[in-house]
Amino acid sequence: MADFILTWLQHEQLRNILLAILSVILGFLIASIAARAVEKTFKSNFSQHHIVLFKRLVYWLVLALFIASALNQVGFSLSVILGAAGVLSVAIGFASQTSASNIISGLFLIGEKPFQLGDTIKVGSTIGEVLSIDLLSVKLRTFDNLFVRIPNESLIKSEVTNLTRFPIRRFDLKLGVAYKENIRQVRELLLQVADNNPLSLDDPAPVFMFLGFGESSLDIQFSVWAKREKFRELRNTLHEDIKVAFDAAGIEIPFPQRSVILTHANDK
Amino acid sequence: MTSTANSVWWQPMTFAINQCQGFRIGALQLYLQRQAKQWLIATDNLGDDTKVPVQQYNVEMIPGHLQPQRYMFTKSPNVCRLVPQLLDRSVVVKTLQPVSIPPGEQATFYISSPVCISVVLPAANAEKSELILTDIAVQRLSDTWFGPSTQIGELCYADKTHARHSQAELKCRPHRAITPVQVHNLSEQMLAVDKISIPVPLLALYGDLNGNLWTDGLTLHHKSSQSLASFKIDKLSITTQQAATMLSPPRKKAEKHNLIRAFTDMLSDQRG
Repeated sequence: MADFILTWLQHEQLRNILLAILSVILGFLIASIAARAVEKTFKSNFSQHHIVLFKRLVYWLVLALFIASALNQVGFSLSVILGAAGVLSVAIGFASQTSASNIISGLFLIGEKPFQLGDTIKVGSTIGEVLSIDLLSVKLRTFDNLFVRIPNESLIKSEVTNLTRFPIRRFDLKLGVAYKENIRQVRELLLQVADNNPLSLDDPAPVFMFLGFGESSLDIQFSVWAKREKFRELRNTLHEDIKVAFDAAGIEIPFPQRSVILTHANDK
Repeated sequence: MTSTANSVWWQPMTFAINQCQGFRIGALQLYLQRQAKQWLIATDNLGDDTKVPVQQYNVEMIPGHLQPQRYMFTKSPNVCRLVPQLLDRSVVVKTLQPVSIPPGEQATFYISSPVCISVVLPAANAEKSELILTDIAVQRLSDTWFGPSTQIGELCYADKTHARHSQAELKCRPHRAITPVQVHNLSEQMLAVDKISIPVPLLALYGDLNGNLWTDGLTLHHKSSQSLASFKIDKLSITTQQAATMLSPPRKKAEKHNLIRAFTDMLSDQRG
């Protein structure tokens, strides 16, 4: 039995296969070590998503080298493989137009940096936190905890809003008051409410805008600034505070009304 | 319930088991209670901060409508200290009346900012540091943005000041620390001081025997309308005649970039 194994081991083809397997395993090991080293080296100087990109690039490059050498070991001629790849790539190119477009869009996204890992963005009707920026797609986590994958191509083509780029945000509150109300009193009251709310920034100051005469109300926009992280809290508290203040001052927030006059057919 | 005015209220206090004490510091109502295995802390905001000085009194228990925070121990320490501290962000104060400083002139303002109170228990042994149970702001200030644009700047607290210029006019308010700010107008134009940002996290806090709180002083040099002011922190000098003790060191060390930021943002010029 031992003789049998020895004869097999001495067989050149088998030895090559074993060496090839070994080199692939070694490739995996060295690639992951190199990727980790890249992470450590660039940690202090680069943003998180550049580090992730470098890491992946180094990993696949090192692994590809080892796989190529393994194939060479087994007896594949690399020049033939590359030649075949040239012919194949035309066919694959036609077949994988979308992927290629996504990859190129991905490179543009990484270069342009409209958002980073951890930012909250709005794409179409989806709002979510950026989990990863990859070559083919961007992954988001929405606030109801869903995982959304958006292809890079559609990100490049469509409008993307980064909600967390700047440290402060403005909240535009649109409301209407009844025609009988004193608009100056309403303005004083709204400014007072914003002044009393600790989340509303003193500077930039809140802005009161009288938009015009609506169908059933005087239309007003009241814009208040808040710290980015407190935006939602401000929106909630401000609505509540305004309702309470309006109720206390007897200011009416009207709703559309229709007058229906009923007449008897016989009256005619 | 007996109430005593306590001017030096930051001294250590000893609590017997189940003893409960109430404190009135500005608008803040604070209750501390020690039990065998826990400390209870409850706060209430009374809205009116005119009552001075700090009132301290024994109460039977924390009022039922308040929800105390519980801190659990195997055996609760019997000594407790209230330590005033300056706020964690700069305070931007607006002057209640417009103030202008002519070219070549200098003025000193006394600007007060509210403090927060740390409830501190002593260290369990010599190797450990003191245990801060909680940090309570005496007055909740509104947020504000201080910077040249909505993209560059820093988040601060907003407050209003009378910008008093004489020490005799100062009111003794135990929950507000006074910062002497000296402004030199070295430019050739009138300098309108409508807002001043006081970088309180960079200042140390001191208390004197009368219960007044002071911070290190600030000196501002305004040179031209472009680069606004350079500032430097002066060690406490105002109360040297009275014994003042340092109650808390600065929260942050003044770094180079802090100085540069303050350099351009410290005062706001006349706005249209």
